[in-house]
Amino acid sequence: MSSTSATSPQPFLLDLHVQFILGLDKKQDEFEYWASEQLRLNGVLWALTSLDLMNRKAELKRQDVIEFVLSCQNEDGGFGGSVEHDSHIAYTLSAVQIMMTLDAMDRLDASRVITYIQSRALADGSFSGDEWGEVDTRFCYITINCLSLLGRLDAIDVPKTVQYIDACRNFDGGFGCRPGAESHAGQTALAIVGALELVEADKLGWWLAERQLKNGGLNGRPEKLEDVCYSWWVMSALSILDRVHWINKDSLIKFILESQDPETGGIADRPGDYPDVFHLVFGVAGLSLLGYPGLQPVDPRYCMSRYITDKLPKFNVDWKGVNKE
Amino acid sequence: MSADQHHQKKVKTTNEEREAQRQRSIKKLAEYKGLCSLVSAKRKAKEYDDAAFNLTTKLLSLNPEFYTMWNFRRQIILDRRTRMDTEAYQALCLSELQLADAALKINPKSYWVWNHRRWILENMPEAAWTRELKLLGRMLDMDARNFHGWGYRRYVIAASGARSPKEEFDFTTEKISQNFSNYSAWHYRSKVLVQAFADPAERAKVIDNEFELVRNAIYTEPADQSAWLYQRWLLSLVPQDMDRWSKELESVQELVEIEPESKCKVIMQGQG
Ligand SMILES: [Zn+2]
Repeated sequence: MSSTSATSPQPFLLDLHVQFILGLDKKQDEFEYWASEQLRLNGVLWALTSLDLMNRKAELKRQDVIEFVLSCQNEDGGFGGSVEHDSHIAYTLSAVQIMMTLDAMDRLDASRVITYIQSRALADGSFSGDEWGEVDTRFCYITINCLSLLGRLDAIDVPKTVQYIDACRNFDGGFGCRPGAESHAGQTALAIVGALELVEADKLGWWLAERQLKNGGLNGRPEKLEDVCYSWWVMSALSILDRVHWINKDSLIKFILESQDPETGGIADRPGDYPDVFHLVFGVAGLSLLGYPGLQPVDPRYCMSRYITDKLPKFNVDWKGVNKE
Repeated sequence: MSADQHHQKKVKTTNEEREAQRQRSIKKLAEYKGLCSLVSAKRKAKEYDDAAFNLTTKLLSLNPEFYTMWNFRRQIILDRRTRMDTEAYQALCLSELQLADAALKINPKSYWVWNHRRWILENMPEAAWTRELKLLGRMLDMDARNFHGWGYRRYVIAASGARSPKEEFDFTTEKISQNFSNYSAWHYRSKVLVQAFADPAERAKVIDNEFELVRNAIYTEPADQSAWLYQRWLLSLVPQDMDRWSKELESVQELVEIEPESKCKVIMQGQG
């Protein structure tokens, strides 16, 4: 059952991954399916994006997905993780990304979404995740990402938000989730999406490249275990900084391929663990970013196919890593 | 926000085991769905009574990630507050903190539970900071790198003013001496050092000692990145001090001879 074979590298199991995704919805008589209901909208996004990157988007019933997404929108304009779940800025972004991927923006009441996002803005340029007040740079990124997809960055005070992100920069060049917090690869990827001009590219690039471990995988913080999802965050950050060549691509490709489950499909956090759709999407996106053949090119800022984000109006920032072929 | 599926080693199971597991799961689901539909009716009717409160307790014990239930619970707490004296309300908040303790024991990385904790502390008549610091001490003893634990510690210190930057500096000394590879502690140290030693002469002396500490750490754990990163930061505090830079370079060269595998490229790059 071990998926680690040192001699012959495992091929990419595209069809098996499609089967894995289509099987996710067939476990509705089990507790575990409903116990993750609060993040169903994210699950749908990860499944859809995985399929899209594998050129198999049509496997999901477009109309059903659209109706489900719309049923998650609440009176305040934000989206919950599922029907009858409270609004949160993270699920609001997922909803917008799904509608964008399905080319269904005409079905979305964007003005209500924008009103919700504006209501989350705080005086110091940061954003709270929901009405209960958690603050995190993740939410700055989510806001910027979401509004850029809606073509409405003018709806918030971007320079103020950038200033806040800057206050979260650390001695190693990385970014934490709040001023004073330890650097984290995920936060860092998000931060530079929000404010690329702040970045000390070489210092940060070095910190990021140091996340690669002997087995090819990358970790999220120094002295932690390698993980497929962090491999994505680190690499997307390096890609935006135009420094993907600072890591060993071949050994990372091998690590991701070894994290596939050859029995059920899907990708796990690392070889030999149970697979899930979260690590599947970041594994597939990672392979795409590394130039693995047969996949749609991915946009490192959004973790969405480039053919979708290419339609977006240009930012006022020069996204070197993205515009370069 | 991530679907927290990490470190779940795949184990071989027999068909019977899988079937038994499935049956347990189906039974548990019946209970869960029953509770969900009861609570859904309460939420829609805006009924903030004891029955609703108890339903959230049960649901959250089955699924602590059900964030909408934490939200509903706080709505109920706010409603109760209007009908309670301060003492009773304080007691309610303390029991909420205990509930969060139990939930964090099961999943120390749950954003929603940490949020609930913070909200309770910010909304209770007399915030129980001493209790929080004790809990945090225990948590960081168990997992010295818990991201949430460190973040929450910074929050508690800032909100309570219970400990001075100097005391926090000493706390990081303690954590680092337990384990030189504790990057979280090194990071925190870089933040509190600047706050604790504002006087330039005093700070210069402290920085001298820091280089000594870093040297010890590097010689003990040469393959570890933590101390190297900290050293790089220390050097950035003394950009003009050429004596210091050449002294550090010397000791790095010494180390390269003994430990070719070490992370010496940090300082080499810093030079360039
Ligand atoms: Zn992961």
